[in-house]
Amino acid sequence: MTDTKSRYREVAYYPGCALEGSGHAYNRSTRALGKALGLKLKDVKNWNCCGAMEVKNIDPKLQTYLSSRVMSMAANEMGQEVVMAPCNGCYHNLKKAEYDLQHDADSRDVVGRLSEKAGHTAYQAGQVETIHALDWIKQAIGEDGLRERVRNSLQGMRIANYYGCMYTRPRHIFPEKDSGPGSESTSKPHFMDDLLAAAGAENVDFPLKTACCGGAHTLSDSDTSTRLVANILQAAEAAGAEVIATECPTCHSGLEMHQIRAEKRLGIKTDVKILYFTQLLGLALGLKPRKVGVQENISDSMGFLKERGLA
Amino acid sequence: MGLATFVAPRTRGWSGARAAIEEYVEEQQRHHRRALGLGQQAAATGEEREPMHD
Repeated sequence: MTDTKSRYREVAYYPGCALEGSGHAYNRSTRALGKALGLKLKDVKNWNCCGAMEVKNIDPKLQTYLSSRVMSMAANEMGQEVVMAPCNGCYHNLKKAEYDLQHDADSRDVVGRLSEKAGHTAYQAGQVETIHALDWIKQAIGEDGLRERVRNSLQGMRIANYYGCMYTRPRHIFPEKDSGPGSESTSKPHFMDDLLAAAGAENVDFPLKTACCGGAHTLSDSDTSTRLVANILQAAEAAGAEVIATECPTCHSGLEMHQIRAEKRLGIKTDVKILYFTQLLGLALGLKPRKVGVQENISDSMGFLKERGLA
Repeated sequence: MGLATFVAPRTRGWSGARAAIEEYVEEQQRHHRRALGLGQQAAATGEEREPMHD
């Protein structure tokens, strides 16, 4: 266990494009949480976009190259073994690239050719392990480690943990999940539940943990996204949640924006607060709301946090 | 968030990757046009697509 913990105490950090913009509160709270826990994040040198939805939908191999370049920078320029990506989209794309490079000769050929022309070392499958921010905290600190460090317990806070769809699907690109005791589940993910419970929170039984928020369609078909988000918000409230905890910048901003839109367009009003799990853990460790970027959220939860003695 | 809009880090030394990607995209487009029989038609009418530029 000690070896596992030390492996994840210093990792290459790939924030990705969203965390430099609309998901900045996630970036701020992830860095603050890591610092508070004594973990070290080393930014991936000269990183680029992972290819997100836009490139992947047009040419999947081009997305594989873009994601592989990020992993190449971490492995070959920095000598890192672990890359941590807090964004579900980035995490998903790096895992998909890893899978493609392991299993598809054409992908290896395209990545090899593009890397050579671009002037950097081609990434080889297996050079790094890509993990999510949830894996990072779970493996480097664990529930017991968190319990020891909690200063402001989240006791009494009822939370619906929302993982979104890209954290677990498609199953084959996450071979470490569903691999026995202690591993993450693709059908009923629980890492966020485990960590927040260790901080004192009461996790509600939330059936839409891995439902899609419509993030990819938020501009092209906003009404569909609003309906998908309204379902999630209403299900969380029906389950008794006061807060939805998130771990993806696209899901998070989608829930925040469509919560407002659902009220305006559909007359569906919900009061559930939306906070990143890194913000909630940071607050539990005694960090001030500003340190974890609560003021950067669209969903206003300051009054709620004050009532709970967390602000 | 506002500040990040203006001072967000940019990828340095991207020109090599951009050139490689553009070459790959053009190669794929030629391949797709040939597969659809559009390449021959375009060549016959002298309407070959111009390469992509920034």
